[in-house]
Amino acid sequence: MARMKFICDAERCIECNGCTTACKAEHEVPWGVNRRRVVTLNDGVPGEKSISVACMHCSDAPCMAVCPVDCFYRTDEGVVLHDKDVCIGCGYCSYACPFGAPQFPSNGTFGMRGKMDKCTFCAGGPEDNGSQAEFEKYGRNRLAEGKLPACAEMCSTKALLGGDGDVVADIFRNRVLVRGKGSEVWGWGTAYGKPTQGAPSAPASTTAAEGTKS
Amino acid sequence: MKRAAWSLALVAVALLPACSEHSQGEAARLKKADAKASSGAVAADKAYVANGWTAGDDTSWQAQIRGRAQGQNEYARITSATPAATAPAPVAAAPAAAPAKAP
Repeated sequence: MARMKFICDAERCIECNGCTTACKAEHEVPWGVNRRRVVTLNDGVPGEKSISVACMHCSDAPCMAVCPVDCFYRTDEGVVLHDKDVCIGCGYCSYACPFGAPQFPSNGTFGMRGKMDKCTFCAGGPEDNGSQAEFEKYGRNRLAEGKLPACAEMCSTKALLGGDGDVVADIFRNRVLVRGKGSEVWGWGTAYGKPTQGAPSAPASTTAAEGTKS
Repeated sequence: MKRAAWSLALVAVALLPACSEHSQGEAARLKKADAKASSGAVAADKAYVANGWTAGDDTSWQAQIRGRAQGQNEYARITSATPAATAPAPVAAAPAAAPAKAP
C-alpha cells in the first residue's frame, strides 16, 4: 500500500515559489491562506537554503491528537485530511503542528477565524471524489484522477518530490549518491538506509543487512 | 386589526428559523466517511483524469501513482538505465557517502 509523502531537496530549491503558485491556482485557495510556502534560511547570505513547507501528512499527526472535535482522519494512502463540517476553527491544530500547516481564513463581519484549511496532498476531502462540493471546500482531488500533487509535479528543479514514500525516498537517495554529498548527515541511515540499498523494511532485517553490505 | 395581528404572527413564525442553530446532535458531530482515491472521480468531466489506469482497481491505481512518481526522477527520464545503475560509480569515489551512525 502506498504511503504518500513529500520530500524537499534543499540543495535544489531555488525559492521560485512555483509550488506555492501551483497550489494556489489548482485549488483556488482564498487570499490569506497559504497551504504551501517556501522558507529560506540565511536569506541573502551566500549559501542560503530554501525549503518548501506544507502539511507533511505525519504518520503520528499531532493535529489529530489535539483536535477536540476529532475532525481529522487518515486515508489508506497515509494522507491526513479533515472534515470541515466538523471543524470548529479552534486553532489547536495550528499550535500543535510543527510545520505551521493549518491555515485559517479570516472572514466574517468581525474577521472571525474560519474553518481550518491545509494541504490535502491534492486528495480532497470526505465529499464525493471530484465533486463540486469537494472542490469548493478542499480543492481538486488529483489523486482520484491518477495524478500526484500539483506542487511536486510543477516543481521546475524537482526539488519537491511527492508520491509513494518508497519511490520518492529512492529517487532522493539516488540523487544524493550521484551528488556525492549529503549521506553523511545525521539520521541518513535511519531514513534512507545504506548508500547502496534502500531503507530496511523491518527492524529485524537491519542488523543482518548491515553485516553483509559494505 | 385582527387580520394584521395574524399576519404579523405568521411573519414572525416564518422568520423564526433564521434564529435557529445548526444541529449539534450525534450525526453532526461525526466526520463523514471518505471514498478511496483509487475509486476514481465522480465528476462529469473526465477530461482531467489521467490515462493508464482503471477507476476502482486499486492495483492499477497504485501502479499509476508509482509510475507517475518516476516522472520526478530525471535519472530515469534522461537515461534508459535504471536509477540504481547510475549510482554506484560516484558512490565508490566519494568517501563522504559513508553511512551515518544511526541515531
